[in-house]
Amino acid sequence: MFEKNSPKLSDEQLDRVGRLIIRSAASGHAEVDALAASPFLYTRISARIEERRREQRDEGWRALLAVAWRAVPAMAMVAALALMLWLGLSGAGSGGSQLGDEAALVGARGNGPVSVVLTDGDHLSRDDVFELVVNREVTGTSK
Amino acid sequence: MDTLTPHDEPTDDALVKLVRAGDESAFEKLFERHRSRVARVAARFFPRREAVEEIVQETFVKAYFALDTYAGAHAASFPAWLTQIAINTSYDELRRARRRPQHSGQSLTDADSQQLGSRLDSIISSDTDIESELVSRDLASKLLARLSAEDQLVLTLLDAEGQSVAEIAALTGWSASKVKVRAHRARASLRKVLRKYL
Repeated sequence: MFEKNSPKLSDEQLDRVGRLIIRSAASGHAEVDALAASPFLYTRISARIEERRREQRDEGWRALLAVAWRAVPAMAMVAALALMLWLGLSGAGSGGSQLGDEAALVGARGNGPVSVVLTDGDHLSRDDVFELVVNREVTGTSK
Repeated sequence: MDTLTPHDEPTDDALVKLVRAGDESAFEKLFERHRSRVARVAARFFPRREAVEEIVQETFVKAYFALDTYAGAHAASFPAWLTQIAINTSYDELRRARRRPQHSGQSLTDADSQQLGSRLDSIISSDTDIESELVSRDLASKLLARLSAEDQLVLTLLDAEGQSVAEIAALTGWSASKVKVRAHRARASLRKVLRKYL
């Protein structure tokens, strides 16, 4: 590195040189104006704007695909779990659904004869119970 | 009608409204009006023509996509707003340039150093501030490239643009005290660099 052994310069002197250097580093006005008047400058700006717009659109799609890329496996896993659960429940036997029917019947009728019949633990079939209910209702309305 | 100038030319704010409404030709008018200003700001920081052109292009592209954030003349005039974008773009480019490997190509050769030393001596010995080609633009920019991007920015705005501390604070978004501290440090750094050649 080139270094000179010069007499000590004051900060003011150095600041003055510094200011001149900073001004020298800038281009001249005439040259800059000529550059700014370039006829293709706006064409290039328009092209760049269009390019950025396209990039923004592509980024939007890419973000959507990234979300889908993460969401699809998660949703597939949830669906698989739901299917396994459903198969497990239905595989537990038809007793479950029979119980459900009976409960619905009891719920619909309140604490009428059906609940009596069901809680009796009698060996009546479902058809017998249904017949009993219908007969009772018919006799009830005829009165 | 406040959207027209005395010469029946639409004001900057009126043109901005038109661009927001989808009129691309209004943006071209804004470009025609302010391209010299933006080029002059860029030329303060970059001596090379290609670099200035790049800053002009990037400034107008950024301005186009940021038009929705332009609050209108009640906050800052369009030229002031655009100048702020140009300065920020220049600052970003200065920082990027320092990180590039070819930045080392900006270093001064021994011949450059000797030439610089003799030129600086002649400036020191003369009492007047001669702004002619005492130091070539290329040499001056190589010398300034030794400073950090912040130092270059603040010294250029102070000494080349003639901006006040408050104006620089408004342009850069820094506080006034930060500008003062930065300027003080930048001058000290430049003196240190100059002492090597004097």
